[in-house]
Amino acid sequence: MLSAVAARKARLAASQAQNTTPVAAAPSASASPPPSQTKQKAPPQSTSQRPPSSKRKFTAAAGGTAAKKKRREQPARYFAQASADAFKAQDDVIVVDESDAESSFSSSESSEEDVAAPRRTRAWSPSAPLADSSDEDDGDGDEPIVLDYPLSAPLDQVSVEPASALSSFDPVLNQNVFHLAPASETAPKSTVLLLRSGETVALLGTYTLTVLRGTITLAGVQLLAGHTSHPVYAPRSSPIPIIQCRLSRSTPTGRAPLLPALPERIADASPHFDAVLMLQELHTGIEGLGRICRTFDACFAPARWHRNLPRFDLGLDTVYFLARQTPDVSPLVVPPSWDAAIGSVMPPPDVDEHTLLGQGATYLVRGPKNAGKSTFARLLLNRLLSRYQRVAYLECDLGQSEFTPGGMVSLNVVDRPVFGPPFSHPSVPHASHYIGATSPKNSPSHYLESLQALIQLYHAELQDAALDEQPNDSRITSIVPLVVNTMGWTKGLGADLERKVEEIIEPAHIFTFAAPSPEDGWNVPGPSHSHPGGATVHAVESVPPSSLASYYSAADHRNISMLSYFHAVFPSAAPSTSSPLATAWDTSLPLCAQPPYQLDCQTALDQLVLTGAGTEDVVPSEVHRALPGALVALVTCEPGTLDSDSDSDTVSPSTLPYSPGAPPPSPHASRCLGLALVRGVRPHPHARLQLLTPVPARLLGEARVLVMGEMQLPVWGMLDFRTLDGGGEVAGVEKGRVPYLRWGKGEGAGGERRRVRRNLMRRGQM
Amino acid sequence: MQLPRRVPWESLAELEQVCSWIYSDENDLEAKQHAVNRLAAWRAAVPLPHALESAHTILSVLLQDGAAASSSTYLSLRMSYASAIIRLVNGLVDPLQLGAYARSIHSIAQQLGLPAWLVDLRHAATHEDLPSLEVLRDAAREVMTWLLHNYFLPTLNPSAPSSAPSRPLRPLAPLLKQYKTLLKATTRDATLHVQYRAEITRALRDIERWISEAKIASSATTGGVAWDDVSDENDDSEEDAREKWALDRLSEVLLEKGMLVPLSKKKRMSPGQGTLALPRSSVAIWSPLLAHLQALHPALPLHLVSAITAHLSRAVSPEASSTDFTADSVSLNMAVDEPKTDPSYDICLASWAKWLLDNCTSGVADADEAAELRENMVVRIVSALRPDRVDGGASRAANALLQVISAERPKLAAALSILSQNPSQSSKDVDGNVVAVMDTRLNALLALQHAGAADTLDTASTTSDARVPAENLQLPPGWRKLSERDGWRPAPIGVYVTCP
Repeated sequence: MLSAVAARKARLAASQAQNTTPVAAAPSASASPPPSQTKQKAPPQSTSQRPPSSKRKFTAAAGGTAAKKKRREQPARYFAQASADAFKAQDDVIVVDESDAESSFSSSESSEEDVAAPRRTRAWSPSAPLADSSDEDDGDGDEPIVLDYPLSAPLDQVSVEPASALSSFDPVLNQNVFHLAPASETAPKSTVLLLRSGETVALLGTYTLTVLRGTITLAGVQLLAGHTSHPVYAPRSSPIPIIQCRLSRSTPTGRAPLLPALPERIADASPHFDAVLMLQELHTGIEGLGRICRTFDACFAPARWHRNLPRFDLGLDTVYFLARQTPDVSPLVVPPSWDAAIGSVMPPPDVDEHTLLGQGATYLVRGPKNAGKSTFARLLLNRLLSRYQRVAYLECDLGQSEFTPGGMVSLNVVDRPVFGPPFSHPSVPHASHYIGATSPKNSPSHYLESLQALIQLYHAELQDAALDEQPNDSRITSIVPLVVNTMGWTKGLGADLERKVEEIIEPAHIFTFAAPSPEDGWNVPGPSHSHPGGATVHAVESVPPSSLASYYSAADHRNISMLSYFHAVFPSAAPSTSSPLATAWDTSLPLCAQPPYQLDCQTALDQLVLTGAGTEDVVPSEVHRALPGALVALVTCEPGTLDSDSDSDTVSPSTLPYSPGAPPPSPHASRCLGLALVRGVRPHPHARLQLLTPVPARLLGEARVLVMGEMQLPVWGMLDFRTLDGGGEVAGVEKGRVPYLRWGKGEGAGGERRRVRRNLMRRGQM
Repeated sequence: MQLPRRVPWESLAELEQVCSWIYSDENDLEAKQHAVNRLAAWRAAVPLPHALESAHTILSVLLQDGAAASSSTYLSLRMSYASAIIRLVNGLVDPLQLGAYARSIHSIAQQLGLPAWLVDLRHAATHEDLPSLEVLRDAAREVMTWLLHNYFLPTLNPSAPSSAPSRPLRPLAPLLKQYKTLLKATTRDATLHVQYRAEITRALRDIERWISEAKIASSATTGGVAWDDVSDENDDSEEDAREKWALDRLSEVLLEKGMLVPLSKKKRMSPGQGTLALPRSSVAIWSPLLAHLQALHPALPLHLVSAITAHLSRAVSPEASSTDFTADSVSLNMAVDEPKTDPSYDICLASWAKWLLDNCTSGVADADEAAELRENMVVRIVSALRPDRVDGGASRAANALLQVISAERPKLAAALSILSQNPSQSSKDVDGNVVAVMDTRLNALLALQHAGAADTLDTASTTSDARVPAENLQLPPGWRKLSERDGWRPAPIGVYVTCP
């Protein structure tokens, strides 16, 4: 929207300069002036005044209707909008819901690093970096390489589909689609699809996918026929993964026997097809999250206004076949440069494992926010998993973490590809450290130290930890490669941190995203420093945010991740070789109605630490006022690393073990096990806490330290979704009387949280 | 649906207690220390409203000042005071920077009722010599009083009117007159243009500034400033409302006689040209302003056209209102405002509507946007003027406007002719059966939805119950999983449920 204002300004200035009255002006043919032209109008001394904020919506000067319309019409990436009349009509229906979502559903918090508004190219940006001195000297250790590898097979056919078609597969019951009778009443229903080479299938919902014969790619990841079934979560809130049938090159034995014994009618039909896959319903309760956080209401089903469209019925309750693109879904697109870049770092097939041992296997993904970093990192992880039995994933992005809720850095070990947005695979990480905020800006050194501890742990425990060879698994076992996703904060302190992170990690390969527009900083190729190990830098193209970005903001995604975590059910068995992922979600009850743990602070707790700016001033007698509704990290410390002296001196045993200004436990001697919600505190006579946490009970005994940061439970989590459409009572308490919550507008001046405008212009800039 | 907001207090009584700690006795430092401690704990719990955070900082400095001056230098004390005041003023003013351009802090402070010398102090403390301790102490006291009247009291007594009402909006007419005079001079004598250029620019900016002030004033009339984080994502709608309000006020003033419509009746018509042609002098005077404002407020033409058609349709309807009891008072007021109808005024307004329709899109680059804007305007005109009444007692102006518009749009003309042919009682003929059918369908749909929801809830709750007992076995010492058997009951988050 900023661009709209800037363009109008420029036009106004131009018309005034020409001293013409607009009466005579024909409908302006000049369109918007080129960015460079407007840029010159900006006085240079003002460049440093306003850092960018693409977050703040800038509606004061732009007309509501016009602006909204514009946003709505933003085409989904790579796919032209349908021009049929029916689509137009649907488009109109959407408006209602969108404005509804915007006006009534809103996230309860947003940090300034959020990017909520869809990115638009800006005609003029006050934040355009001047030539940065650090960009000038190229690192000598890096060798940017040109990517023009001949690909063995094109993987990007998805992106050249005819416009508006998501699936080229034309389903016909009992020809290429077969319903399987469930083995029992309770067993999930299954359907078998027979695909020809090149055909694509787009499915919405939750399902498990098993390839029975042939080869397919799912979301850019190749899946071979085998016994493995992959759970797939494809909500509308994220790009839809596309299944594509690939020509299997290595089928000398021809139509290999189908893995399970399939009914004859399928076996008879299958020789005419290249791949056979089985879809199964997946019931995990994850769709219940939409009832809790209404921004994601029914996101695993087609939008209300498309629900009645004629749609091929797959015979499964949780899966919807998407033949054409509708405005509410957009496909996951894998640009060719991503494929090429990933292909170039994969070990050649049939390589001897031992020759790989000396080579680095650490892959770092960096770039500005909203460039597609996380999507790329997930793709890289999944692709590596086709060659390695286990892959480690180090998350450095505190705002939008892949495997955990925000606010922590974590190291995960993954042994099978993950298909779905981050909120569909919360985990109990291999190791993690709680930072306590969505940005490291308040604790940069603790952040770096935490990353250092994790990378040391990786080198010590994971890197070369060989597993026993599994039968039927040809993947490499002796090496566990590491994928590192960095935060998208690439300016100021962020750039400084980013550089230090790279020094700590010493990646062998760096994937760097080109900025969508040169104004957004992050000049590519810009390795402005030398990597000690001499990293190879691969430039990859950034993907414009899909149309979904206008429906779901970064804060929305952070909220759903947090709520997904607290409703998740983790397997209670001891961990195998990988970090356990959530297998189900208990969404039958809101958090306020879930029975908590009660812990006796004297027996179960060694220390309570408050982190975050200004928390040093919280005195022990008041600390219980800060705790109701707070998010705390459950931290385990190595014995002897806590100074227990201070406890016995200043804190009487019956109160909370808190001393002001205590630093968080050193990351080198502690680990964060997960998060908990303090749902109640009793400070006297014997301090007790009531906690809600999804962390498996077997781990709770180690968690003797609680660390509270700045993270907040999304306000959705404090509500009672069962009464949301009615009176809005929370656990039987009527709406106006719910403690710690307040409805309606605040009165009086300064009743709101401070907010910062970074796009304010001065008069002189006209 | 409106989402609530997190607050650090369990109930307003807790905020009241903090307020009494701060204000009941100015010299009771111990009570103030209580308040500071409580506010510090609250601040750790949730981000505080800006007023509370400011109260916290200033109280801390007051305590530092009152405790022992020997412990630190007076410079650090002055620095503390100064930064507390700077942050207070900035935090109050920043949320009201709603426009594209920065407004002066003074004008915003005026709207807020914040003493002007605090703004000066902020400036001095930021850019000039650090003010003296004496001034800073005075300022801190003043700020605390201001917060009591403008934050604590209104928050604790939501119904009580604010003791310091914001200033009424200054009149716009003088600004417009100033502009008109300038433009009149330059259009008559082009050589004056260079001489007056600076003044014209200033006049334009004055008008712009008035619009942003009007936006803020609108928030006073529409009831308080919004809580930030709830409204964060729906800024759109709220700012729309403010902008709408401001633009409507602007349109009202523009429509007054002597503004868009010249005072002299002779100057209102353009002789010798087609119907609804504006005199060239009017266009020359006002189009630069309209174009300038439209660049900043794209919805302006819409609002102007709405105001014009609203006036025209009022002129149309007096006879109708005599039968309508509810509209009685309104029509009476109007009768007072405009004792007799003024046909040339109406015609001139209609001409402006036509002109806006033809010219408003010249500043819009995007063809789609332009078309949409034009379409919206036609819709407003047609719906406001009620073409079904045109044959009746419509004024000449409204009639002419409709005719001109429909002459250029054949489809509209056809639609209008159908509308005006239809006898007005056709609406009574709407079949009651149709409504009944729609009703039953709606009920059927609603019933379906309810059945579905109940179904999923039931199945889910049975599964969750089965899982609870197994977990208790492995819990470490000091931990205990509560259940309903222990006396635990659901309660809002934050409430400790006592279990024996």
